Amino acid sequence: MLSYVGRRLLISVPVLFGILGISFIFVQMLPGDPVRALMSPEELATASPEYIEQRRSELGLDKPIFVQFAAWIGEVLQGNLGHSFRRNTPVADMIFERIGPTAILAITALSIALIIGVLLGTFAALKQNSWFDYLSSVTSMMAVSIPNFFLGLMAIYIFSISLGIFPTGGMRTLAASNPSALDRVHHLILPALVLAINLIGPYVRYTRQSMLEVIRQDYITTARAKGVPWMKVVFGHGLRNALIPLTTVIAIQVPILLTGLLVIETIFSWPGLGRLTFESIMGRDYPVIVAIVFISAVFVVLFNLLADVTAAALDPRIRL
Amino acid sequence: MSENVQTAVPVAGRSDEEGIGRRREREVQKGGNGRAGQALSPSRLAIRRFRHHRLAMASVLLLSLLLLLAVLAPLISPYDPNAVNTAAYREPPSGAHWLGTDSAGRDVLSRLLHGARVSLTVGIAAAVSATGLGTLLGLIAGIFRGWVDAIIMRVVDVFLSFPPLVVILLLVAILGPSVTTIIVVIAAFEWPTACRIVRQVSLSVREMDYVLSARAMGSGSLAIVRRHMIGPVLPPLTVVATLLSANAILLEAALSFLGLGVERPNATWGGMLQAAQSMTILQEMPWLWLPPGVAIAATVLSINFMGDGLRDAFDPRQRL
Amino acid sequence: MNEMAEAREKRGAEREPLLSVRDLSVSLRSDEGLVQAVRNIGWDIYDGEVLAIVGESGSGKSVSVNTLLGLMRQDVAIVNSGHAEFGGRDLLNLGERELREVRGKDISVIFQDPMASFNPVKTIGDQISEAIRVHDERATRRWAWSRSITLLSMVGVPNPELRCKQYPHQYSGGMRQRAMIAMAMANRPRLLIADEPTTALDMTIQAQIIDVLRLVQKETGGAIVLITHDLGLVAELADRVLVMYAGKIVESAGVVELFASPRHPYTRALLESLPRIGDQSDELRSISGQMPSLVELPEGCAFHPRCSLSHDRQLCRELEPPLQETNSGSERLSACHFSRELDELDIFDR
Repeated sequence: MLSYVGRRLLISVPVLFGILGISFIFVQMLPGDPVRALMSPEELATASPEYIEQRRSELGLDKPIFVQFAAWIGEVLQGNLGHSFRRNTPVADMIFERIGPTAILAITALSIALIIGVLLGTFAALKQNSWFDYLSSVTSMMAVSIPNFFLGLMAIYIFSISLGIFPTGGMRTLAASNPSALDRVHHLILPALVLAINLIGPYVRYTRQSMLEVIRQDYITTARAKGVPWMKVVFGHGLRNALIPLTTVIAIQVPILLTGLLVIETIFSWPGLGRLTFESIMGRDYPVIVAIVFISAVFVVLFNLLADVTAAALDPRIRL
Repeated sequence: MSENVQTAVPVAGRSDEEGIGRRREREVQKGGNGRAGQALSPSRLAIRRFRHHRLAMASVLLLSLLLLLAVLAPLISPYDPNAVNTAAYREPPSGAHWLGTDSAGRDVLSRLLHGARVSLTVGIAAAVSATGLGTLLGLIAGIFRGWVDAIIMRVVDVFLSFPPLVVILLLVAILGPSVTTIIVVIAAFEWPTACRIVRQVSLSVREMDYVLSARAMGSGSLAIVRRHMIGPVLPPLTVVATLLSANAILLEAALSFLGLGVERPNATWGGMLQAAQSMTILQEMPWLWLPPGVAIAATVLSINFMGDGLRDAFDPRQRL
Repeated sequence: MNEMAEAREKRGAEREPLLSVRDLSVSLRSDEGLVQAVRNIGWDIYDGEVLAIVGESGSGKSVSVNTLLGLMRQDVAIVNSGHAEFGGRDLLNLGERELREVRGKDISVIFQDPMASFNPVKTIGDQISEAIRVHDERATRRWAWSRSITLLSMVGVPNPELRCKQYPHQYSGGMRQRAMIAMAMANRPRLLIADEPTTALDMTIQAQIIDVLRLVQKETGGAIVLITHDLGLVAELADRVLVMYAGKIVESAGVVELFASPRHPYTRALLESLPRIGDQSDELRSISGQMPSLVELPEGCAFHPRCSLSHDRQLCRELEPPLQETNSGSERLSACHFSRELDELDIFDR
């Protein structure tokens, strides 16, 4: 198992390198002076032209592009993702500050989508070609097709404005100095649900397809022949096998989840990375955007790794 | 051999139940309606199956109508979509303005019709360019294999790691918003899907007997591509192109919604929805945001249903 | 009324059968139409007996048995008629819950392909334990596990403590089939259904599995229904043989009599197709023609288009022969109008 993870990690190295390369191209494309971009405003305020030139050669910016690339990787590995144009902080700090809320929202949405998607997909497969199957197919297709920002607006219109059940945005009631956990959950539900709806479609579809294949397998008949009740056969024997291919689907969906976070956090004023991205784009704060793009891509690679490891944990045949 | 079919007895076979299942599957592959189906060519059968897919046919109808409206928009629009009329400020739907007017007094219906032009142009152009690029690289990977294939596939992995909306936002922000930029940027980050499929198909086609024999006879790579690969690659590619265009439309809409779409004051569906980020509009003026939202959702849903119908038509084993 | 039942009644039942199937008809839905997979068959099996059901694939032998346990897919199989009396109950009339209690406890199944028949993501020990615990609420996890080890060692799996913790893909084909047998024996069933138990295995492994089956039967004293197309296996294990063709039983006889003098031309053809030691010709003998489509069965005897005895006689073409005693008072049954003519033919001559 450990050697499997190791090998899988090794395969990711060229991809991570490619991500660094493309991100570096983005940095090069940015308007403005990269030296200044890497400096904090205090540094900039006191910097003489000589100092800037000195920094330039320190950073190797007068050297060939490949040397610059290497130097840039060095900076990134040390955690220096540049300085915000707008704010007096290193980009890394800004991102670190926002990662918590995003993680909460993303994990909640992913869990909701997985539970509902897998259940719907499983029952659709068990009742193949029934009205339930048909309805769940059409509904999940609609869930993928409705743009998340429109869905978010409608959710706010219906649940927050018309019915007044949920708050229109934010992470907690601002007036309350020490908001309760319930208050946080209350704020979390609507954005998480909207985000989840966009993810459910593929989960339903692939779970159904995978489950349809699995319940035709001989070992399902064997389990039934042992006298195991049907639902126990489905969830005890079928589901685990059906979930193995689903891990890949979840990993493939992660970029879509990140895209959804950007939109949903913006609409619901959720103080996470997505909202930061939007704010940075509005403020043309390029170093922040590049850093977020880079970190997102690295995260996607790591998540793919995690998905493969999960698949290996689920399927003893891969572990070899 | 005698004219009778010689059946070796005992025939090694699996259980009777599975025999039926396999026979059924073969029959479906042939065309679904038993003997009557055998006379038709695969493409005719695909067309026939597609026409039996009711949702897909309805979607094609709706999309054709939309395309017609978009093409004719300058002729049929009741008003100039960009004509500011301060006298008609946020008017609700009326006889003069069927869908009301927006904050600048512009006619919502006219803007909706013109918005369709942008959405469809971006959807079609981005999907075609992404599919073209993906096909080219996929064929190269499939034909040359070895390190060429390895490099292309790693590049695919790298590109798939970036969350599309975020990276496209960054590039559009740097390069400046325009329809062309949006198309190019979307295509640049959506090609990997097509590339993967083409590579997979061309790799499997390569191993088929007729291609092996063609190679043995000394056919060049290009001749093999032309004669043997276009056919098998086309069906999955059509499906991918369809889904890519749905994606592109969603991406463009999201870009415009976030304020980085086509140059103002041009009408786009996403841009029209942007107005609803104001609570007053969201709460009190649904005619401003409901029509463009429904338009995007209906268009994307139709394209997805069409893609689904195509998938079923080409490969009936993989159902919705 | 079923012919075989009549025949038996005339003879008078000597003892209670363990399982008694009557008038069973099953259709399967397919794209070509309804397949008459099993047509009005009936048979009995007694304690301690090994009954072989022999036929080509598609003859309905697996369907007939899987139907009894409710293992057929409900969207495919339709039971048109039939009773199956087992321990005073009609299996075909039981609800899913009651049938579940029979499955794996009173009647167990060994499937053909031991690779596909084990869940790849669970250990063998877990899967055997499950068979135990599902029928015994009081069985603890630990107890079931140790019983699994005992069962594995009983069927000759070496190092069973370790083997219990392994996954199916870590077993060889023969070992997997042993484990399959161990799992089927977990609750000491009174009836074991072995559906092509050796087909997927190498010749040498086949012999070992046959030994295990023999041992298991001696151990438990239960009955075995052996579904197979392999007449070699039948000769090794079976006491009595039913030959099925196109969904019907065409011949029923004790194993010795059947091999000595088949009373149905189809059985004879099957026996002729067996490769023999000292056989000069290299080619695999086969029966010419194909089994008829079970959607549109031919008039008359289903076998007559392929039959070497029929000579296209009108009776064969028009009347489906009933399964009846070859001689009055005989144990042997045959569904051939001209079964007596078979005596005149030398079965080894072609």
